[in-house]
Amino acid sequence: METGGSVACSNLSDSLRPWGRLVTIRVNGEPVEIAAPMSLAALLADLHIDPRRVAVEHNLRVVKRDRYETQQVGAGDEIEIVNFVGGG
Amino acid sequence: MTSDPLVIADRTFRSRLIVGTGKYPSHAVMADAHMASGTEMVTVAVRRVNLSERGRESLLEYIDTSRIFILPNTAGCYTAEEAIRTARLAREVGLSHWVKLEVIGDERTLFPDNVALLEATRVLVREGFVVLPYTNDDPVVCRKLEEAGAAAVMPLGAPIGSGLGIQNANNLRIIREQARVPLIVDAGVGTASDAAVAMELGADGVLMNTAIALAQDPVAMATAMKLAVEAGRLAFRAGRIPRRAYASASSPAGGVIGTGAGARAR
Repeated sequence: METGGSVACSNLSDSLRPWGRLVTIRVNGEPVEIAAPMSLAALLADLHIDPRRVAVEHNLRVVKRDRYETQQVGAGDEIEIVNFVGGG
Repeated sequence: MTSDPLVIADRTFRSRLIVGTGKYPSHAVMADAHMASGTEMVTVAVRRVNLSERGRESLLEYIDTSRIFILPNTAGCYTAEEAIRTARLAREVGLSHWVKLEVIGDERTLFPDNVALLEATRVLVREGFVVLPYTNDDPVVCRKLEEAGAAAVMPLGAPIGSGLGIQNANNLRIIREQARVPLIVDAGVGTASDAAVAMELGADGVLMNTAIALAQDPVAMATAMKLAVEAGRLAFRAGRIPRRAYASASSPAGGVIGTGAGARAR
């Protein structure tokens, strides 16, 4: 889903590049605006997530760690980023 | 106990106690409890990274992964599909291709959905996972899980977190008789005697979380559980005496003072 320029700009975080096309994706169920095209590695960096500690699912498919640099995220994509927490 | 290791799939564990990582007062207490328990395998859950609370200390910083093997679970999954996705994600974290497979069928009891559990077991075994399914204490389901390629069967002793102890010892005995893969009693332990009972019934190991984590002194309880599991295992191997309805004197019947020859047995 593409968003209108004025709305997007008001939500734009400093870390996001001001160029590129602003699109909405969902990360862990929450809408997130990114400047597409963006790699998974760049998305994790923007979200301040250490890629060594997590696993990522992109549109229901697990992404191998060595694909983070090359795999591109686009409008409407569903991303799940998980880690280990306490459990039994 | 080094001469009596627990072997699951291709791994050997000196400890027969598997411990959880949830509900502890702090990560530091958890680490101390793990140490006291002597455990060599701990379970972890797979959850979404909290996007608004990044940078919190990681659970893994408090687990000595050189000594302790990580067993990710699929807790909270209510369908085979969710559990399979969760297992695949857990594997991609890169610490383990083992999974404690949970497919829950009911929110209040947290009893497993056996049909979905079997389905997920088949899929994950095919994908190369070492699957340890959390299951009902049902011998038929355990047999089917084993046939589906499960590396162990993990029947519950009682509902998760209930602390009720072993509710159906006879079912566990039957499962023990038939199982050719390790039998781990998973869930329901409340205190040390429960763990000892599980081991005396012939379980190869016990998995617990709440009984240690929510004890008033988790580190002391972890020590108690370590000893209980060892004691129960030793008792099982030693071979208990048969139960009998009437007494059998331990002291000699003859030679009691003040009696004639052929005195009554005491």
